[in-house]
Amino acid sequence: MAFDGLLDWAAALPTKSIGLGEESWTMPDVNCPECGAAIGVGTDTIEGEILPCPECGVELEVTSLEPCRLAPAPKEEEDWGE
Amino acid sequence: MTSIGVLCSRIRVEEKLLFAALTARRVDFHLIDDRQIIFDLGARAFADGSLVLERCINHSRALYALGLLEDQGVRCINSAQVANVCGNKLLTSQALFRAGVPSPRVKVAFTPESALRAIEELGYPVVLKPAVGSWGRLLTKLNDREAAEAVLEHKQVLGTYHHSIFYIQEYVDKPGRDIRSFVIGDETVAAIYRTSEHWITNTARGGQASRCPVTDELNEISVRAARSVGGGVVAIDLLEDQDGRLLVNEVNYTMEFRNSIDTTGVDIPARIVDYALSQAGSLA
Repeated sequence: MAFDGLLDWAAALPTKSIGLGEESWTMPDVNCPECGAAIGVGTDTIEGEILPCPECGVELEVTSLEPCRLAPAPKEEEDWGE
Repeated sequence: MTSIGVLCSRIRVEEKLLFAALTARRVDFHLIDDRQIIFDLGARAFADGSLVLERCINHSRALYALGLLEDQGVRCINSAQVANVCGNKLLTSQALFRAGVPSPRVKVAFTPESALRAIEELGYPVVLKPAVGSWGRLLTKLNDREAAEAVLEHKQVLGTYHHSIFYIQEYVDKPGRDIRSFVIGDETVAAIYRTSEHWITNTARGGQASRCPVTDELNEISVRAARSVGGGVVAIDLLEDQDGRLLVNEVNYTMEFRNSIDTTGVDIPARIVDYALSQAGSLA
């Protein structure tokens, strides 16, 4: 493997679960930390993904999958972009 | 089996589409979170032939990480040089002018007084841009001297020193749209119009995407612009002037494409992954 060593932690990330096109099911709802709305999270969701809260619109980051946890996503900084 | 690292800050639609394209090609890939990675200068943590696809949202992190990865022999898409040039509008303009790629006139000044003189030499309106910035942030169209004086003072007093590097661009009276073309390697694979009633047409600011045909002229100027900044996978922003002439406005090195796949019918993430694999193959 090309990324042994420094990237051992990365190898543990759920690369297999990233595959799209698989039959999706929904994990139990989690709540928006800003407004408390219930948010459905699909199985194709991955750690680090950004989800908008459907009720208050705040951007949330998936900080863990088992259990699923959401936190407010980092705010835009001056050097963000393309 | 090819192994690719994907350097990310947050997982947006674009990153998920790239992951799907990598998965579809059965590529062994790893996420590298720029919030967690630690670089040990002098240590060699990457095997020969490693390749990293950069998808950071922070320009500064991308720039430093790419340099550090390249120091360890990692082939990066895009390179640190491309990130450095494209992440800075002044360096981009320098590269475009050096290569003779048509682009709007630009003047640079370092004080509000000299900036005002430069603005008046160009003639109103002009566009004042931060050298580093994206998504249309802090772009200012200055229509007259009073506005120019006010904005220049505000930038000097309220901004960091970085905002006192005054990048002043000719305002191009475009036809209510600009063009975003996508260059991968030596080919313009797709292009969109970004239409808006506002002079800022970024889709991040509400511009509407529609398909733009890739003509020979558009392909040629886009590829020339891409080569001038070092090549790779880049998105070119172009303006059409009143005579229909194309001018390269900016070049983006971590391009967003979510609004351009259905619009153009081109599987842009697949094309990026195929290009990355071709580069990985050339390392083998």
